[in-house]
Formats: sequence, structure tokens, C-alpha cells
Amino acid sequence: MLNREKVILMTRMASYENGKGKENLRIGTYFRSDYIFSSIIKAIFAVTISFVFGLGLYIYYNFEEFLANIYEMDLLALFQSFWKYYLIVLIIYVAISYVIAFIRYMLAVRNIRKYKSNLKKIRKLQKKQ
Amino acid sequence: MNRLFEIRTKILEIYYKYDAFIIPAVKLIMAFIVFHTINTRMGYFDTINNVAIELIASLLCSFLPSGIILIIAAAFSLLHMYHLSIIVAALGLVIYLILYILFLRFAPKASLVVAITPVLMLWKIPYILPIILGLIAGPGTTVAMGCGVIAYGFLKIINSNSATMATMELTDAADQLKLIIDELLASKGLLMVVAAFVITMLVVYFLRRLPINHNWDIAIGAGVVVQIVTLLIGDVIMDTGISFINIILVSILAVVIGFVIKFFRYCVDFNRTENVQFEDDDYYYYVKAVPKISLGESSGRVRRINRRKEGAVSLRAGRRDGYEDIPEEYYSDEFNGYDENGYYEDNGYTEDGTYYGEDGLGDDLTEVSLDNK
Repeated sequence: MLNREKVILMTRMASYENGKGKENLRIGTYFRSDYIFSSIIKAIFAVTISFVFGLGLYIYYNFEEFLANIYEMDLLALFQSFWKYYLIVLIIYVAISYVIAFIRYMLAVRNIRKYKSNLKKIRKLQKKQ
Repeated sequence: MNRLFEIRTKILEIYYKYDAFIIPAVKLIMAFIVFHTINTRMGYFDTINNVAIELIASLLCSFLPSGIILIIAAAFSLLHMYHLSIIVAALGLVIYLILYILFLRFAPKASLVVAITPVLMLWKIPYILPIILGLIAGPGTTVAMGCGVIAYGFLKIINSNSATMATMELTDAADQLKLIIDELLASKGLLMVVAAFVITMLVVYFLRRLPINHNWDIAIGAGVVVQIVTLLIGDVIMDTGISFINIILVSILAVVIGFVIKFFRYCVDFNRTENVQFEDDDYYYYVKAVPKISLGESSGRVRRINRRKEGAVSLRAGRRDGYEDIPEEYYSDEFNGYDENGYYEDNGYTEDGTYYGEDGLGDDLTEVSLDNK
């Protein structure tokens, strides 16, 4: 026999699994610390790659100047100033990524909890039949 | 007002019935507008500057995920840049990549916003965007909006320098790059617009979510005011010279659109018909779930029973609300209006002689609707 309540529950859960649930369930496979750690690693990569691009543009932009003065320039001081900018950007970006990852994980766990309680309900309904 | 609600219900019914066709059609139109705008504005590469190609690309976008619109739009603009100068295309690619890697990563679903923002900027109505997005989207969309504004600024600089760059040789690549980067770094107005948009959108979003009455109206009003003020402050500091008549006119348009969205808010909640498949031990289910049309807050009614009339007698002594004092016999020792069960024996009449009957609903039953129409 078709069970009305069960069909409604299963439909809700199927649409959740197809939509928001896909990402939530993926996040739910991690421990919180692992998820946040992985997103921080990704953030570090993102900043580093962008910084390399930016540096490339900067050097290309000042290419003639560099070529003309390459022997007189204090390269060490130049790289130190690059390094300082890199660290500032990195710290800000990683902090923002940390907060976002934290919130995302909390929301995902909350949704998964609802999802699991629905699973239990379905199991009960199935046993009743 | 009821007539309006009926129309809304009809529109929503049609939307839910045909959303399988309406959504691709909307995507097709949006994609076509974006691609056509890029082609007419840049148009350096004749091969793709062709309505047929725009249409084919838009058709592709209509049934693929909405992020594809942004990818194809970026590809179109890069191809045009490539035809202008390879170094400009390389710069464009680097800027797009940095925008994606640093910012858009956080809001991958809002990529449509990135494609739409430059078009609205071009039409000089971008000021509706923060209000609309604050009402229908989450705070992550601010990032997409900012990326769109920066992409617009970049494309505009390329456009305005295209004549100069076309005359340059490939050996002047460094000069071409310098030309664009110098202008990009000098365009402070762009950053000001991004900041104003982000602040406005966040204000609208957080006010809309506040658990207070009229939160949507407050959000729309405050959003418009905040946007005008931030742009004004930005203009004073940066001296950008934007047209304030335009901003005010577009703000009025934003208010109108905001109220239309408020009216249809259940429609823009991204509720849509769901086609899902699942199975249990006995059956395969192919379910089509159609969202119910909710009338929302406007259906809330408060029933007020036995509202006091002018000059009614209060049972409690010492009232200060202008009702008459209680006659002496009501609280003198002789008065005993209560039966042995402790009920007040009034035969269905209140003190002022109004009949309320056995059901407790008197003649002066009033229904007060709590519509904030």
C-alpha cells in the first residue's frame, strides 16, 4: 500500500538531496576541523596564485625600469616588501575563509541533523507497514 | 487589493505550471542580452560578432546551469580582446582568474549576477541591483556584484582605449599594458561604487531578516537612502562626478521593483516544481511536487469578540479609559449575579444590554484584518 506520509517525507528528502543537500552531505563527511583546515589550505593556494599573477603583472609593468636598474637595486628590500604585502593579504583572506567555512559547516550539520531525523521517521513508518 | 491578490495567485499558478519552459526562456533572454551587449560594445572580432552565434550560445545557456552564461560571456570578451591585442587578452585572463580565485569561489551560484551587473552598469541602472539582491539573495552575492562592477570598469577602459591600442604594434605590448593598468588603478570611482553597493546590499539584507513588522518596507526604504548617502559621500571624497538625478530616478525605480518583489515574495523564494525519483522496497516513485501558493501574512485575521461600545459599563472599578463608573448595585452586598456554579447569570446579555448569545458571539462581532495594505 502507498503511505501518504511516507511519500511526502521521501519527496521532501529527495528534493533536498538533489538541491542543497548535495553540498551539505559532502561537507558532512568531514570532521569540522578537517573541513575548516582544507578550506584554509585552499585559501592559501588562492592567495598565493593570485599574488604570483599580481607579481608577474607588476614586474612586466615595470620591466624596463627593472632591466635598467637591475644592478643597483636593493633586491632584498624589494622582496621583503612583497613578502609583507603577501602576509597581510594572506592573513585577512584566511581569516575570512575561516569564518565562512565555520558558518557553512554549522549550517550543513544542522540541515543534516534534520535529514537524519527524517530518515529515522521513514524507517519507523516502514516497520509499521 | 483582493483583486491584486487574485492576479498574483493566477500568475503564480501559471509560473508553477509552466516553469519548465519559463526558466529556460528567461535564461535564454538574459544570455542573449549579455552576449549581444558584449558584441555590440566590443565587436573587434568579426567572426563571433554575429547574431546567429549569439543565439546558439544563448540556446546552450538556456538548458545548462546558469554559471555557463558567465563562462561564455568571459570567453566572448576575451576573444574580442585577443583580436585587439594579445597582451590585453592575457591581462583580461589574469584579472578574470584573480576575480574567480579570490572572490567568486565563495559564491559560485551567483555567477549570473556577475554577467548581469556590467549590462546594468551600461544601461545606467545599476543602482537597482543592491536593493533587488538584498531582497532575494544572501550576503555572499555581494562578492559577485563587486566582481561584476570591476569587470565592467575593466571592459570600459579597454573600450575607451581601443582606438589607441589598435594603432600600436605588438612590440609596444608593455605600453598597452601600462595604459590599461594606469587607468584601472586611477579609477577610484569604481571602488567607491563597489563599496556603496556592498554596504547597501548588506543593509537591505539584514533589515529584511529582522523579526519586526514591516521589515521589507523598512529594508527597501533604508536601502535606497543608504545607497544615495554612500554614493554622495563617495562622490565628495573621490570627486567621481556621477549624475545624482540619474541615481534618484533609478532609486525610485528600485523602490517600485522592491515592492513588486515583496508582493511576489513567495515566487522569488526559489520554490519551484520538483520532479524527483526515488524507490522503496515495493515501489518506484516518480513524483512531481508542485508548491502550494501561500497568501502569506495578509491572510492573518484577528477576531475581536464583544468589543465595548461607547458608554459601556466596566466591571472593574477605577477605570481611566472614559467608561462610566460602575453603578453601585453591581458591587453592593445585595447584588448577586452569580449562580451556584459561579457563572455570571446574565441570560446572554452583557451589562450594556448587548446580546451575545450562547455561542459567545454577539451582534457586535467584528473582524479586524491585520493587512498592512
